[in-house]
Amino acid sequence: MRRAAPAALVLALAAGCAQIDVPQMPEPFETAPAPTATLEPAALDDELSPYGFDVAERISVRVRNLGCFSLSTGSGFAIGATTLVTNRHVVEDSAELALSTYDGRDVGVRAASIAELADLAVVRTDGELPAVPELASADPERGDTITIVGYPQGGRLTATAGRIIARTTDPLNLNLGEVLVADAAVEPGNSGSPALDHRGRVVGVVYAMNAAGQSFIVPVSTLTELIEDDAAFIDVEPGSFVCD
Amino acid sequence: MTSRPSHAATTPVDDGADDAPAEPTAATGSALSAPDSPDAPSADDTTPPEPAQRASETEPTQASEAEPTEASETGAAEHSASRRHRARRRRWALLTVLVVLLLGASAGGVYLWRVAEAWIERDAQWQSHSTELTGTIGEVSQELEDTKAELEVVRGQLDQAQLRISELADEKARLGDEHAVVRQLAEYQERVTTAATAVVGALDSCIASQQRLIRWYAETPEPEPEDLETFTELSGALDEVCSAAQEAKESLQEELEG
Repeated sequence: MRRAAPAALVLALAAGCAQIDVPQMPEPFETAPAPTATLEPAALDDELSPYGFDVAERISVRVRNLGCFSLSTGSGFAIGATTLVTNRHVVEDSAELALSTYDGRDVGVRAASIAELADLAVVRTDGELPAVPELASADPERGDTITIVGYPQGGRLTATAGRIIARTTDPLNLNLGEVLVADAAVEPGNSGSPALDHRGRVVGVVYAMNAAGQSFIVPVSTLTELIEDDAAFIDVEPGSFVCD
Repeated sequence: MTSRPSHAATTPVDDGADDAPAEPTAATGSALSAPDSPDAPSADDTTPPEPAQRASETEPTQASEAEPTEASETGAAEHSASRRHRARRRRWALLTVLVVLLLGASAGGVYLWRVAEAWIERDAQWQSHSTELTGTIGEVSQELEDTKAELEVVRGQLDQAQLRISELADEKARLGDEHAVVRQLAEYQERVTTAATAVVGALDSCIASQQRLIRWYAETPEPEPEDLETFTELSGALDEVCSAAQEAKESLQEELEG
């Protein structure tokens, strides 16, 4: 028995050794590692149209004023889904008003109203406008950068950058109160163009220019004040001006 | 060791030496080699057993002379046997421990060998996989470059599309302007034409009335009083249509003057 015990012990230990398993180790990759993050197309938010036009371009509207054997063009911008702002002189004496967007889409005119105390007008449309900008809560300060987006000479949509250089009374006496002067060069056809700040907010409405290449802008404070005043605008019938 | 066994042992040895001086050596030698233990006794073990064997071998000669030491010799023998038993048990324990240690070391060696083999195998797998990943990275990098190139092309196309959209919008607006002007002109011309047509019609009526009045004069060289009624009717009609013609002419003139 005593001699058999060590042999049994040896056998038991040998059997135990046979049962020893390698510690669990990390498994090798079966395939290439899958990417942890998938690339998704950039989400199209309100800042960009499906064709890459930014909101500054999409808010702008071309205004055609067909008068009595005369045709003039101006610019405007949306302040609501079916409401846009332009200059009073852009829509005055109109036998026919026509609107078109940045991508050439025509938008019908339902009603128009003009302000008595400023060179501003509000036009109601039949269809929805492509985009609506945010109105700034305060007027720009001297030195602030602005961008004017419009249709100079009734041509292609352009953007012109400049800075606010002064605040003065209206030299044309079209507006009550002060107006802004900017060094951004504009042309006929830019009337009614929005002046945007660096965040794309509307800070004013272009209404005039001078020979020195300076542009005159109705500040957003005036625009906001008049929009909030129901009596500030007088309704006019689009096409009511007849060539008699 | 104690002095008592030593004393008990010396006595028989001295007695034995008297009877058979050579035997103790042989007896001692046989006694020392007698234990069935295969192991050689250690230095500590050789000393105690020797007197015990001698005591047992010399017991017959000591029976009469060494009567007082019999009990102590028996105890010493038992004690010696116990010590041998304990020594044997210690050897077994030692042997067992050594065997266990040997087997443990063997098991550890086997374990480490298997671990090493596993790591070698795993290393080969990792190397193989690393090679595959290198190839995959190369392919993906190439795909990325291709995609970037395609993206640039698409961006260029997008810019072109934007430019074209703006151009088309501009062209459409200008055509709309021209169309509006032409349409307004056409409407004006339509109004002028309508006014002119009215003038022509009114003049025709006026001329016709005048001709009727002239014919009446020609057919009535000497009008009677009753003919004055006819004259009044003809002249009244003449005034009416000619006035209408005059109004139509003035309307046309206003239209033309715009």
